[in-house]
Amino acid sequence: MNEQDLEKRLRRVKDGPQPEAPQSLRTFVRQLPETEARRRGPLGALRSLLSAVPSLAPGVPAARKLQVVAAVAFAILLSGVGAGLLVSLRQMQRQPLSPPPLETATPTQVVTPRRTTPNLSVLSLETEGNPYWYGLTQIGNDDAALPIETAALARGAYIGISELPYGMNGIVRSDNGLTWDWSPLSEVDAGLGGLTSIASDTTGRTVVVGWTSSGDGIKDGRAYYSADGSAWSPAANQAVFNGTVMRKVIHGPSGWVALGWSEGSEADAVRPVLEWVSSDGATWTRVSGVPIRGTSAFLLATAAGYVLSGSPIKTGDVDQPPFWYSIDGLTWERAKATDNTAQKLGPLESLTAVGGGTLAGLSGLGDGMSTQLVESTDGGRTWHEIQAQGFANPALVTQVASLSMEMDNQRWLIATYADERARLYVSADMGRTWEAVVGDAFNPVGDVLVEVGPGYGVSYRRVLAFGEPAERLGVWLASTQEIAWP
Amino acid sequence: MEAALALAAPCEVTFIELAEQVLDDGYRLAGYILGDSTEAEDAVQEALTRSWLAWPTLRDQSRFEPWFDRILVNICRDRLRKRKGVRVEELNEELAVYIDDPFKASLARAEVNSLLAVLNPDQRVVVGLRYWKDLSLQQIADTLGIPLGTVQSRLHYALRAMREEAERTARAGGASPEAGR
Repeated sequence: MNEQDLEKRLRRVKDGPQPEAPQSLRTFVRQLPETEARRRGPLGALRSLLSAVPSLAPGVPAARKLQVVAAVAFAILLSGVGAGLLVSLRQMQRQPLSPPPLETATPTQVVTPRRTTPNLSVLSLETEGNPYWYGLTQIGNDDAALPIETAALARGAYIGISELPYGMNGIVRSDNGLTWDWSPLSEVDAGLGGLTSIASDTTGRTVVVGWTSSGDGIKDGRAYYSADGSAWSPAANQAVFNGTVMRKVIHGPSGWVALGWSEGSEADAVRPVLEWVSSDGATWTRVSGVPIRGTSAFLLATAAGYVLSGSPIKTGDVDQPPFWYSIDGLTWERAKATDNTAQKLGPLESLTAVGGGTLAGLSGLGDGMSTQLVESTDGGRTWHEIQAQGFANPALVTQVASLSMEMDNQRWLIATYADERARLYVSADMGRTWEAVVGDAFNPVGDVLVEVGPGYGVSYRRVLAFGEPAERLGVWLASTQEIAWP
Repeated sequence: MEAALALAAPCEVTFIELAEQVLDDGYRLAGYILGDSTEAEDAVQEALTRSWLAWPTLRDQSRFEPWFDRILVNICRDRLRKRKGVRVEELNEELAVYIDDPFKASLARAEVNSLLAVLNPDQRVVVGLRYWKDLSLQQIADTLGIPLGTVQSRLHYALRAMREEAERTARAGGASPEAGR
């Protein structure tokens, strides 16, 4: 049986009439709020009231609404619950079952790592020594690992995007990788819907982009900037992003470059990719001429310019893979492959600047599941394949990053690899030979590997590996003296 | 019931409306992943309860469906894991059409029961979202909150494991693995 036959057989499951949800489930949905309020007793009723506060009486100050809710809660308590519930209420105030109203949210929460295995640090969220679950103790991962989605290094601090479980967006910041502060960007923009990308320049200025929902189903892009990673301001001309969800932002030699695309009704394959540039991260200008379309793009800053990859608008020559380079981020030149491999190479899925104009990346292959390691030694103008040794199947490398090692004063490549189990590999010879360094403990694979430093003293650099929060991804430490994880 | 709905708070009405919109799809997804209508009903009920409790934290209601799907498939995955190994349904597939359970019947009719039995829970969830919810790989990554590469890898190994199982079964039965093409 080949793959197509198997896929046909799997899709055949849906042939014929499809089962509908039984009436009992429909009844359950309609009675759910009431049932839960009853089941949880007076405290449950209070919680329901608290959760409804934001939608009650628009225009009335939140503090006033809370006073009313408190009065109602007091009446509930007087109706016969007694001293035991008063204790519970005090506890609930410290450990709220639902997020506090945004107006009263504490600006900074302390996130501390919790070590669960010798190789793994898990971030959990705590406030004043108490677990702070945001009402999600029954959702997904009971340990409430903090899912950091991506991060940047700004003047020695790690700044990351975090979407607290199921909807609260914010910025996490750490000077040492162990203790983290969380700042909800919703305090800057209460309408913020999601954050997608973050980048920093050499001065520590950081820009984060995302989107907000206008309520009629249309999403508008958003950008925020910060000088210190703690205090954030919205971009001066946010309207320039209207109708587009911002997806990527980077800082390169000519300034900031951002990409986005809409969530409109166009087919994914033809959706236009849009570009903006900025010299300061605060004021943005829309530019034209982006050579790609669709709903994915890869963008990287190099020492000399920028590299872009995605689905091309125009078919290239036989020696042109879907990679471009730019000096200024405004005009894009199509790259060439020097080894007759251009026709099989798809858009880049991962890319790292190793230094001296050398780039190592992963090109997605046509089957949508395999990758090919590729390399450029001239800043992205020309590319060729890397014949990698050491992987059981080189097509299953999922990401590539680079790490500067003091032990031999050279750059090492790091790759994540995923077969039945995810693994971490390193290479000291620019990707020709690889060795597994973390096996079963590194599971699952992280979403992003970021070279960051300094960690403990000067002898460690920190590799942040992010991924599946339900599987408790965390932070790994890489020594700069040896490839070893504590 | 309509009167009760009319008296409910606006946020409750919105939740109920959104939940009703995803109910059929969610029930089918859970049914095919778990292969059992009773378990599917339990899983959807649990997902509804969890999503209602977490409802105040969902800032963007347009993301309700992927948010609910993530909760639901996590519950399905936990249920599969608690089976102490994926349960093998030894069904006579020719007779399966007579089974009352619509999911068992559909899976048996398509002759995929024994193939799915070799998958681990994570692989089965990805297969469910891909072939029975018709999501793209990127949409699956977004729904599960995992990297695209992980989705690709899980699907790759899931399909490979099922193909190997199909060939093993064909060899054991003396038939060609190409039979039925």
